[in-house]
Amino acid sequence: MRKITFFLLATIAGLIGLFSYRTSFGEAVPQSRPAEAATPAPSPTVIAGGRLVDGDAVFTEYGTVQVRVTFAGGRVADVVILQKHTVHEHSLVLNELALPRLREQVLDAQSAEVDTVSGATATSRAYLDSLQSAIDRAHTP
Amino acid sequence: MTPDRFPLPRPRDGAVGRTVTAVLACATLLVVLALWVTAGGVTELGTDGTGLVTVARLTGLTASDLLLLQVLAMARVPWVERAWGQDRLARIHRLLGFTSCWLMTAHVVLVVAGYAASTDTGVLAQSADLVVRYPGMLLAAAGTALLVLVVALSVRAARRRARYENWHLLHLYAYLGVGLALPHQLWNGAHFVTSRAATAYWWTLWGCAAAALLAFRVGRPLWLSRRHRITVDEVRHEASDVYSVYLSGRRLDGLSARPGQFLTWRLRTGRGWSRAHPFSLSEAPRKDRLRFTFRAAGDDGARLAGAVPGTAVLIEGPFGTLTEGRRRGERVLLMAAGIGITPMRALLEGMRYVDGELTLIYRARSADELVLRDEIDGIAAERGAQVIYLPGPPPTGRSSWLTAELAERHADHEALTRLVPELAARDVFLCGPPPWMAAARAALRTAGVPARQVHDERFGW
Repeated sequence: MRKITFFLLATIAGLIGLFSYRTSFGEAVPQSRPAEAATPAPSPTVIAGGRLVDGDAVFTEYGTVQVRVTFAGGRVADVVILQKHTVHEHSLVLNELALPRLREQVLDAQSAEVDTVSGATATSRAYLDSLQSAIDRAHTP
Repeated sequence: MTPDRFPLPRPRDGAVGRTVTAVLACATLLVVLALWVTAGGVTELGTDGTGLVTVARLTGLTASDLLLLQVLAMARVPWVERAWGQDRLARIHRLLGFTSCWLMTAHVVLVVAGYAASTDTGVLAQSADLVVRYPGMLLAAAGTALLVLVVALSVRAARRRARYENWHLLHLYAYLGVGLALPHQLWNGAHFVTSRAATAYWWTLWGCAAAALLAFRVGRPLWLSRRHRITVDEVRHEASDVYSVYLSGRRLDGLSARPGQFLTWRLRTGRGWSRAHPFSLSEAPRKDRLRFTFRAAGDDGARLAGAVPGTAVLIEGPFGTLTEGRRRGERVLLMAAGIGITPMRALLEGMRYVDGELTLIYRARSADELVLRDEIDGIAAERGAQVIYLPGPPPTGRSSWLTAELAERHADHEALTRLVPELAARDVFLCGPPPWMAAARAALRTAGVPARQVHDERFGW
């Protein structure tokens, strides 16, 4: 009996330990981002003569994506993210890798018609849709 | 057919229940597959990195489905018990257990490999990141460790070395393992995060397993014990180390126990009372009396044999399908060896038969060990049953259901046909040590008794 009591107490102690960890009720520990990575708060790059246009907020099953585009001299000068997906931890990790790549591709191609990033398809599509809507808006006076 | 013939009961061998439960179990696996396919399981197979994760998802989902099925198989749900019998359920449970453990291992390896590949991270760093950062993953890691521990202890070699009670207590950690391991899939699985149907399905299955467990492994035994208030009347010494425990209680017919069945007994003798023992009823159950007979092997036997009148008894059951419900014809052969006589003694008393239709063969190592012999003689004389006692040591060198003396002169199957008239037309009920039962089954097969007429339960841990 004494052995059972010991096991029972050890088990309860173990469970309390496990459940006092923050991920044990469905929460994730946020990623520690490298310094140069995108910041959540939009800090639009100020470009002389630039014009800021917000894209549509695109809703998907993982959350909402919205971009803000800076147009300068008839070109897409910069893209920043206003809103991005918030659920599914592994997708978020992949998004951190995918979003900077998308931005680069868009700036190179000067259009929303670029390849989606594999592993982050849903985010890529939403990002490019929002971007396209911003481009459309910029062309309609 | 004589005019006073009774109608034989329709065989209730649980075939319908087995089909229904097997179809349901397969249906859960199909649902899992369907969920996986609709979440893009097949289309994502081609992509590198994601392909591994997709396969990982399928193995993980299947593993947890099997884990829940295993819990349900061992939850002592009465109609599942009646359909399959506890011995078969235990074997299914064991098979599912090892299968789900391998699938779970594959899941872990594939997820880590797939995530590491898609984010360009090392395997170790990726594993640590998963456990530390992802929702529910610390719990899942602990749950996995517990499940692996339980499986490792259940490998035959390890199991033989442990005392049953200790092994069983540790085995209970599997429940904890399942409970801890499951939430992570709802919080990390891509299609659980995005699909209500998948989440609802999973919580339902999880809830059913938990509810069945609480209802039938905890609630029902407590309720039965309370309703029937069973207590020890007397402990009678039968022979060498064999004892019979006579029990009384209220409305015992309400238990619906049938001859050939067993219950799990907990005698509240003080220290050690929580240990449960499955023992067969050794006489047909009565309204006001139950009896079980057991061999006092091991240290706990002495505790049971020393139970004083008035000791309260907690019960689970009745369990077992070695009953008249399995019978297909009019003629019956009961074969018992050693303490395996107990359910056969109950069947001898409780079965329906007329003069000359039933034969009992009773093997023991010596004439002294033919326990319950007097009452068996009494019932046989009254009911017109034929009893053949075969006391004597078993032969050395070959496995046989016979005594050494008979085995020298007769082949196993030949002795059977000589002893028992119209053998091939009989339903045969077997109970004894597993090697003896194996030898008896082989002899029956050779003697031409169709397998569907041979009834036994194979326990042994």
